[in-house]
Amino acid sequence: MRIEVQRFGALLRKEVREHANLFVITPSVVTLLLILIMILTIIALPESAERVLLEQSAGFLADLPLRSAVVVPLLLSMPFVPMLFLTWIIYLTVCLYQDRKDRSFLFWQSMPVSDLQTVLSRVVTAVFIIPVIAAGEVLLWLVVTMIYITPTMSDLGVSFAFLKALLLALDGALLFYCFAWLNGLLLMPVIGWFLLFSAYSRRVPFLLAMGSAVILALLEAWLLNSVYIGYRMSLTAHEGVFGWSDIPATLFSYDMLAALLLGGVLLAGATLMRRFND
Amino acid sequence: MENIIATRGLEKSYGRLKALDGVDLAVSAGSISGLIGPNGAGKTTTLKALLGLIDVRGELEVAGMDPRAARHRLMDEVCFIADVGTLPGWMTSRKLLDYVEAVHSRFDRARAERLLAGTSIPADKKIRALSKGMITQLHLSVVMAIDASLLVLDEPTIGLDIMYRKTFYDRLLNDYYDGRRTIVISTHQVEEIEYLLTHLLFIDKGKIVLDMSVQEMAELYIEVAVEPAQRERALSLRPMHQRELLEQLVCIYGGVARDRLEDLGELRTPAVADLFVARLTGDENHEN
Repeated sequence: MRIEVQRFGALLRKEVREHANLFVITPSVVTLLLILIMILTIIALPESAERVLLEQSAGFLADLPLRSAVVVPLLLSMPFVPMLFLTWIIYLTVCLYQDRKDRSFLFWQSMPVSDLQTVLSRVVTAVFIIPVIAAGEVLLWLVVTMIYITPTMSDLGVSFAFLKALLLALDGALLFYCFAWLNGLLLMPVIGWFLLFSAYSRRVPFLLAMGSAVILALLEAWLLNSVYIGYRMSLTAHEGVFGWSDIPATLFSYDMLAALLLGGVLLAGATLMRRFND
Repeated sequence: MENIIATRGLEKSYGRLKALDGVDLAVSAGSISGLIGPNGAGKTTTLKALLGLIDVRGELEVAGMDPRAARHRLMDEVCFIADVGTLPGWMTSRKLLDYVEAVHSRFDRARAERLLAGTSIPADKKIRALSKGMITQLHLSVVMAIDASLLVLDEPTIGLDIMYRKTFYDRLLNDYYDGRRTIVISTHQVEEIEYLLTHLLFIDKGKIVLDMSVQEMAELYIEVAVEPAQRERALSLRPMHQRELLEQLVCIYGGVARDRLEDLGELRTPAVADLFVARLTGDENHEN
């Protein structure tokens, strides 16, 4: 058991190292760009407009209880959502394809690691690790934003303004993380679908995955008069997580159960494809 | 001796092409076997089947397991190197050792580091920046530090210069092979591994056409550099293969008594490459 845990940990570390550019460097550049845009916007704003903006934001945060105010940092982190989805798509498309393309597949297969462990390590990386990195970027972005707002909050008489702002930033980043992995679980059919094509394709896995999904969605709409595939593929799974209280309802929903069941079938397909695609 | 590999009637098709057409193999533990065949003969397909990398029909047992059902468990017992370009280029050699140490219970990191200390491979340089020779040395060092009972090598030195090729096989023989481990090598460069081999497996068109120990081969096949005066007599004994070499007739006989050949000229054991050509192009009447 211990060796299995150690093995799985090594697989996760390997994924992060192999895709470090995608997971860390690109989001970091985006975060720095956001901060730069914020600074340039502030510089460009007339002083009176900046004052109004600051007072409104700080006043809003000051009036709300801490638990409810988390919606503000969560909304501030929304620019990171498309980046997260983009990272998922790129990662899931290449993660079972790239090693076959560069032939390192034969080295990985020479290790005592099962195809199921390989596929599961990709899923855990996508659903739980990529969001950790994204939440870290979100935290950085929120801390910078809160540092900017804190002096105005103090002026408005908020006690421990910096501490409150810091807690809000942390709360926002944690909620963003939960939002991310909950969406990851809800998008399990999409994850399974991309992994299936990543394990199957000899070239252009993204085009094959998307093309096949579009055809299936059209067939579904035509034959069954339903839009489940289109809904899942739209990558807008569940926008309803705006507070901690929304998490249990999302986690223990029929929607989640359906997503996990369908995702499980597709992941089994991806594992078999990895095993038998020669 | 106990067989570490046993197959019966292995079959594999790619569309209408039959890559394996009833392959029967029995490789005994502790042997060094050469799997030799022309391009497209089914060498790599056979090795992939043994490693559980492809699905095949037929009976298959490697190290007491069916690779199709338990590839990852088999990899605790079996190592393989499939040509020089399969190590992940984005890793450094240090990270590679970290990874193998974490996933392989039989990997001895200290031994790998000792083996690498004898090379000029930098620990923190990405593998893609290393030369082909260095990558092969690295891969071999990793494999040699794993206490496996079977090592499978599929064209392990292809594209390397002669120095690296020689070093590769010398290290394999001196630092790895201990008479207990089994090695199966598939290569085109038969001359370079001939001295290593204890067993020969010739494959052609998906079928094993020769399966015998080197000792049996030496007893069964005889090459004769025929004296000019004995030419007609030599040909009348129906050699399985004949060729002209520096205006001298050279014949290979299979299953002909040594004393019937002694008068014809100089007798010797044929080189594996020559026997291979003889078996693949020779008269079918002489097949054994």
